Amino acid sequence: MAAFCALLSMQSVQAQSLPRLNVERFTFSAQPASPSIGRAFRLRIELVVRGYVRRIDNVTLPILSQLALRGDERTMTHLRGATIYRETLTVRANRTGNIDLAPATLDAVDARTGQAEQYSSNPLRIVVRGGRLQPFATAESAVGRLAPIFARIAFIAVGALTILFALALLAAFLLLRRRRPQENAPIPGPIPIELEPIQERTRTERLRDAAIVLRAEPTRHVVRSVRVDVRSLVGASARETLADVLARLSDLDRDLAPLLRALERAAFTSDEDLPSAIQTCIRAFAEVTR
Amino acid sequence: MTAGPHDVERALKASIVGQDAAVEGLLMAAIADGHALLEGPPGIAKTLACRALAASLDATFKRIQFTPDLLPADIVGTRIFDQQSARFDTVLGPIVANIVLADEINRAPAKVQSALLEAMQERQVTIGPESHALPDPFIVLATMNPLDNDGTYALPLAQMDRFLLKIDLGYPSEEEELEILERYAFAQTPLPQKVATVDDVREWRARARAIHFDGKLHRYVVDLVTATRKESPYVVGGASPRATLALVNCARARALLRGRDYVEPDDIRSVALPVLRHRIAFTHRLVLESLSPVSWIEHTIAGVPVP
Repeated sequence: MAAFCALLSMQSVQAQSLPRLNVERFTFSAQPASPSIGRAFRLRIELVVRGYVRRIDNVTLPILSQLALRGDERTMTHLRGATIYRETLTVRANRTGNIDLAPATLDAVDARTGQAEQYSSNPLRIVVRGGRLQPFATAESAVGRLAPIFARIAFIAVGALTILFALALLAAFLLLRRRRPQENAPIPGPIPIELEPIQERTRTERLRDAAIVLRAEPTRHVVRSVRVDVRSLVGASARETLADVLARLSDLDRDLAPLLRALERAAFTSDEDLPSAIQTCIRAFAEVTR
Repeated sequence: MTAGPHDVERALKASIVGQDAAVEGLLMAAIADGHALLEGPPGIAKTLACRALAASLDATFKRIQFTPDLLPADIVGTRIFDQQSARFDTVLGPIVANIVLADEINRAPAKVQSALLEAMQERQVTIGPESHALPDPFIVLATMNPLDNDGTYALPLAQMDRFLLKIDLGYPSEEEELEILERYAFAQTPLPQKVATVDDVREWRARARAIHFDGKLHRYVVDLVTATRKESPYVVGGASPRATLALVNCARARALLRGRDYVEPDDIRSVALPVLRHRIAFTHRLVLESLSPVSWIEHTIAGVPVP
């Protein structure tokens, strides 16, 4: 019984460190939804909670390693008994095609049930256009985008053939009447489509981006996001511990072992040790991206 | 200068060939202020490991050989009438020691096991009207032989739950067996010299309690334990909340042994099997389908996402 009570108090201590919120809405959107490559656009996270809340700082952003961060603005407004938290990120895409962003998350105690919860916004897919014609990220998107082009070409071709047929009829008619040859108009050829190749980012680029994100915001939340990103780089699953990952690290990824260890420390060490642990991570990043 | 747990670890490994996991388990039990159950076939250094731990810590050591005719008074002590002084004197039993080896604990009947396990939980013994506090540290290391079950009394689950962890000792590898031959064929197995004291053990415990345990890892521990309680045709009862606390304490002890002042998910995952394996009641279906409790627990642990 005493052990059970101790366990309950242990869990309640953990829950007490989280804010009590009554979350109404949590959305994640892009403006515009299909930005052009190289052009800045905005990602907006909007969180609506019931009641007056003075500050919200538990929102964890998804990894934006495929986008270049240009600015981050947070606002809190209070309206009709609700608090609206908006975070606007100005970003720029450096490659074309589909970019899938994970949901933003929020750790809080649900004021209705008193239970610690992790809220998630919707995930987001951004289709980055690369000039006049869009490149294809997948076979499905290629078919989806080429279909209207082929339909248009077919429509033009049918129209042109109809006109040619009418002209031929007219020419035949005139030939029969005037006995003069008539030249047909040349048929236009197919429109050439030039596709931009999808640029696959290298391991070094992804690590460099992660290091930039960590340097820009050296917090526990970012450390954990970066840790997830680096673990995914070496193919770690959600059910593997660091020892599992290190045990089956390929020779190509062997140099990432110190970085993985440093990120593990930064993710789980005490708050006092966190700055030093993050510096170790940054040094480890420098080693592998040199 | 206080000695560290690594000094004891080195001393134990100098005496015991192989069995590294057992050595680590014994140290974790000492640091986490718990008791350990050692299971393995005869002659694989179970008793030696316990004696070596006591010798390296300069701790008082008592061995109790459990037999079917053992009585509770043989363990906790008794009151004897002194005719000269015309009063009863208390004679304390072998339980009053820093490290107690309960050899073949399952050979004694339930009332004797209960007397021992009450001492393990309360850390005191009551003889007649007097209660006597047991020394600190007080570590019970109980052994069981899984091969010879004739004339044994199975420990009830509630009593098994009192053990912080269960250490399974296997046979040594061929190389280790050759080394045992080279070292001890014509010599007595030497016990290690004293390298630490019981005061050091108390200091390690204080250090272990100060080790940072992240909130996300608390959730992971609870997820692991609740995973054992999910409805399954193979399980009658899952691990108790005492197992949850044991996981936290053992993970802290492991982090201390690794020289860290914070716990990683790997610490929890590594101690999960020894902490949980003796606390779960399985159905006979598990045996009928040629599965083992260890494989079921490993599969369940592997299914829980790591933070």
